[in-house]
Amino acid sequence: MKVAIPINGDRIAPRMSLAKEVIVVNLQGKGEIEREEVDISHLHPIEVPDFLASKGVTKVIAGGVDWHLQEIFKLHNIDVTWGIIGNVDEVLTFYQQKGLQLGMGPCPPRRRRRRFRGFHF
Amino acid sequence: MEGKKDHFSTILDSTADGVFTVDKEWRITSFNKSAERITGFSKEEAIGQYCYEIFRTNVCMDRCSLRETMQTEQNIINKELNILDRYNQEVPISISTAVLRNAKGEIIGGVESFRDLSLIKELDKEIHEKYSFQDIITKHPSIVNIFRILPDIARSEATVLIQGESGTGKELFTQAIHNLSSRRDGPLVKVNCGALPETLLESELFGYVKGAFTDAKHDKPGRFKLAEEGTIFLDEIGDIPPGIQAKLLRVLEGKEYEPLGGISTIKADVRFVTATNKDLQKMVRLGQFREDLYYRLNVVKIDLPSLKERRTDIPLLIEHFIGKFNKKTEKEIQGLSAEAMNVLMNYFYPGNIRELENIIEHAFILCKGALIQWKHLPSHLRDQKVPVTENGSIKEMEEKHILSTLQRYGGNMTKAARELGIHRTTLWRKLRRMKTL
Repeated sequence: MKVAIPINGDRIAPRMSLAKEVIVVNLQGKGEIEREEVDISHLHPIEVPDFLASKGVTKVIAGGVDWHLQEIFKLHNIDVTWGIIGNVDEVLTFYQQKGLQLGMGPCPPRRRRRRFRGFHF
Repeated sequence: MEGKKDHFSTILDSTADGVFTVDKEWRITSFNKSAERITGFSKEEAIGQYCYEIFRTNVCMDRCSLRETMQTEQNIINKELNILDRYNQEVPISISTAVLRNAKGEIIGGVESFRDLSLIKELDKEIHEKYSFQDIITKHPSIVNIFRILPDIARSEATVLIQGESGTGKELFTQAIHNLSSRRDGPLVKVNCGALPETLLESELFGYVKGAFTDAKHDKPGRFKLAEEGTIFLDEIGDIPPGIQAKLLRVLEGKEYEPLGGISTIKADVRFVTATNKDLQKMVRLGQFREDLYYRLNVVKIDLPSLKERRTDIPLLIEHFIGKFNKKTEKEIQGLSAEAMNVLMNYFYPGNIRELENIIEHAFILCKGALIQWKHLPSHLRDQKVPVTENGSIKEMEEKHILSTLQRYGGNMTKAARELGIHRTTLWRKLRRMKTL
């Protein structure tokens, strides 16, 4: 499955229509096969769904997505999970492990295991 | 110290304006109650996040006012911009920014206050008719498909003919074509050809020179001149008289014309968008409209469906108008009773969306409670009341609508979901809940 995420550095772009780049990630099971950064700055936002569909994308994970765009994504059978805030890698991990919900806002960062430092009495 | 902090946050929470502060890393450090209301994000969600990921303004990345203030130490007052709230709605706001300093006078971040301008902008739109295609509320595939091809249409210089009944949004699409075209910085000049008598229409379109007729005391530029380097929108093109049809054809073919009484030819650097609610093809057959002009106008044709052809949009539009009138009238109407909804879903709307809006406005005047009832609808609608079954709840209506759509598409879930304007999995979930699967 190919997932596209509009990006701003290593974070999810706050607004799909203003994003200049997307990453297209090819996921299989819980693993990532391939990742490609794609420039979309030359496209009008309305053209982005067509473009992503031509790349075989079937899912978009994004921050704010104007509802006109959402409808155009629907025409291409691209499922959009909007309203996600966070670091791209953390969001992808969370998506693969637990799934994302529409409008969930800030994605909880990956929990880092604390090193066992022995018992304290 | 703790007490002082509480005191400040109480004051901030009681203001009608949204207020938030950021540290030097652009992470939100405080977020008052009005900020929660305007953005839809709770304080807990917002604090610690980058401000641009919560506010998502149209200028966050390139022209951030808070960044400018922190760099120049100059306050910015009442700058207008748009944010995207939690639910993907554009909210116009006016912001003021200032730097935040500690007791030693060192800059530790910034503070921004903002005011919701939705109501003001809504009224402004109504007064000045400044609507854009973002104002088109639809989930209907035929219109969404038009959105999809709109940038290509806009980029070409081709003449566009928009055909659709009155109130289907022809003007909004014209605005969209203009805004997406390379002529967007030029003017968009609108002419209602049906509203002017022949002689007046001619002088309006082409202008006149001093002495062209008795009252022509000085030169007057026509609409073609005013639309130079922009777009001219000729509404009700089916109503133009034969004499002007010939002149218009010349402008379309040669991009030139002469003002009334003038001898010199003027070049017309304009893009044409025309609209009509009449069947031009039929008019051509009946000899009421020039065939050559029809083909010149009909380079790109956009057919806008009437509201009765996109009934799935009715609940969406009702919700939009209720929100709009709630803001305007400061009422808190939640929705419609099943009976009222049933009537609106089955009405044929000769005046299309404009008529639906008027119906909701009428109901708002009469409705004193939280739900618009059948009795609040205009009398001509109450007369055609559709009988509601004992179990005529909105849920039941939705179920019936889903089943009839599915039946129409022979059980094809993908096609039915597209028609209903919902995702295939949503349809599947609804059917499972209805115990149909």
